[in-house]
Amino acid sequence: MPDTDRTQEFLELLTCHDRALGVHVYSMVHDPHDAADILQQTKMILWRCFDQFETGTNFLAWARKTAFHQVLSHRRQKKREAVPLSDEILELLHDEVSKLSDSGDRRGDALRACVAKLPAAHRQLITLRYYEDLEIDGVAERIRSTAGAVYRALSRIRMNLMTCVEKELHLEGAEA
Amino acid sequence: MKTTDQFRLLELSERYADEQLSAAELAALETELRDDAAARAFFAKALHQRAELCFDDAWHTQAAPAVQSAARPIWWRHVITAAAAACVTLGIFWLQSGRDGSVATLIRAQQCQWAGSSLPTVEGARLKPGVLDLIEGLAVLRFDSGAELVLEAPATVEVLDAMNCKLRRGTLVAEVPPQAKGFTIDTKDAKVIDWGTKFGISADEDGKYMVRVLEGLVEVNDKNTVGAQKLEKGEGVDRGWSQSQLHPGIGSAPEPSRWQPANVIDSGDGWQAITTAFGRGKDSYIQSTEKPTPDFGKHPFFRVKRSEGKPELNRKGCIAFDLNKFAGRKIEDAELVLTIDPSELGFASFVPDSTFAVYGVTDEAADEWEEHGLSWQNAPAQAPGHLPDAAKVRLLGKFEIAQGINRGTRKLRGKELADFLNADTNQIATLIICRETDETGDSGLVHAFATKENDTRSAPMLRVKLR
Repeated sequence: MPDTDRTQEFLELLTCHDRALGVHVYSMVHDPHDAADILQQTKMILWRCFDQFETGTNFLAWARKTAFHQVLSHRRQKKREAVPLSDEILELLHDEVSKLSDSGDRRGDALRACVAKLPAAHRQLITLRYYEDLEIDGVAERIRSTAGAVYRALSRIRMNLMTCVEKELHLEGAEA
Repeated sequence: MKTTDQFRLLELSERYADEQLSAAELAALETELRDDAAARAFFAKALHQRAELCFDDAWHTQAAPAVQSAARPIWWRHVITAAAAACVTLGIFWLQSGRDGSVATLIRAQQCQWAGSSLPTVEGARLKPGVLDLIEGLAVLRFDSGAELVLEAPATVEVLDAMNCKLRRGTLVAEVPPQAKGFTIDTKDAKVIDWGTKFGISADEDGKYMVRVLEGLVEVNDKNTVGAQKLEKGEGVDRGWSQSQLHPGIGSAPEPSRWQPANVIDSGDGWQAITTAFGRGKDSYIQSTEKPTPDFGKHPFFRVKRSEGKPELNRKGCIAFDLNKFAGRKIEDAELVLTIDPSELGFASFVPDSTFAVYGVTDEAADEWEEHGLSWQNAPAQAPGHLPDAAKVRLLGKFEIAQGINRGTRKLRGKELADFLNADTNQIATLIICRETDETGDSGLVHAFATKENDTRSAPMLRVKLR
């Protein structure tokens, strides 16, 4: 069992990278229950295996790798009807997503700024979908529209957000 | 990569997340992601953004703080429960910001009385942004950032978000762990930013404030001056707080005094009361220091403190009643009434429920003490150490003040007191008030009780029942 200093170190690292790790797992797993379970399991494993972590090396990378193994084993355990994408593709996506979470909280901050700039109607749609976690049909019912239209509208808003985030990050990079 | 492809991939990512893709669509997506690096990078970006929106709801609270979400997803509760279970397993606590907009938890409410707070005031309540108005007691808030505030009544605090609050008036002690560095407490005239530390702060609606750093580093930004002031452990800044407390009359328009008991009150049932304002009555306090002290006799309170860690800050109350009025009469029953005066010194957080002892001075030669010039060295029945000389006093009784209580009265009644008064021969009775309870940390509260110089609270009172 790690001593108090190690515990402190672990807590600090985990707290520091909590958001990035959470977002990473949620990128890989869409069902919020599953994502939460995996995140929790991952944190417990990180704690148990913290002896193996070398101070000064990349904690987030280590945590992401651990999380990804959990994602894979979770998929295997679940043995659902159809596995959405192959492990191979998932691993490629994992690598891509890792690059994004390396940019730290800047991306998240930029996203928040961009959401704040959205027109109210767009923000409402984003809120219904990602904050209240409504199914597409539920969103469609709320705004008296069809599922197809909601997907299209979401894609447009998401596209705006992506462009905005890249612009924010670029601006920030130019200033720094 | 064409914009139409980006739109297509965005929509695919969304339907993929919903598990709405057909087998054919999945197979096509799989091939595209394997073969096309740009498509893969974009798809990953779409998933990542989606995850940010789902996982982190800060964007929602920031974008529209006033709008409260109607539906609270049930699954999230399970996450919190699961996280709580994980805490137990790991022996750590895990902080999740609430999806219902709550940003803090009221983790303790000790002997609390609340005024018109806009927030729930039961222990364990989750708090959304709003106002807490504590009239009496001690309350502990834990923000989701990890910052903990101990509110000491009377205090009004506005919870803003997990990293910000506003102290409208009153006193609190903040403890900010490393992950909550940057936690900010706003007051009318100052913004105090905590860089991972422990500090106490008092503020009032008139803008006066006081900050004292107990550990670590704090940044104080006075709104009337430019630039920040960094304070380290042991340092403090006082912008009028102590002065306003010590001399409430200065700088403010004269206000009508509250009702004061007359010098002798005959309540008609055989009980009569006098205060220290009657006759040769006097009230003051002494502090254990070699240095000359100001004339405590003029203070509107007497202070009582015990600190084993800093014995030079020990203080005892010294009061005397003129018993002339009762000379030659037999006192059947007696009661001492002390009115607690809200203290402006120290933090209640570091002083537990306290026991006070009242001693009667039996050495009548010592009754001639004077408020002016009274010191630790020349006070009645003085002995080295915190307690009076056992040969010159007798213990009349004890009373308690719970932690965080800073108003109300305390009474001491009984045969011991009556016997002591009956044994008097020079028509003056001196009492010494000591706190038996030590503080648990530096800068603990100094208890105070109103004296005859107090404009608003009743002076020490002696009620006696004559035969």
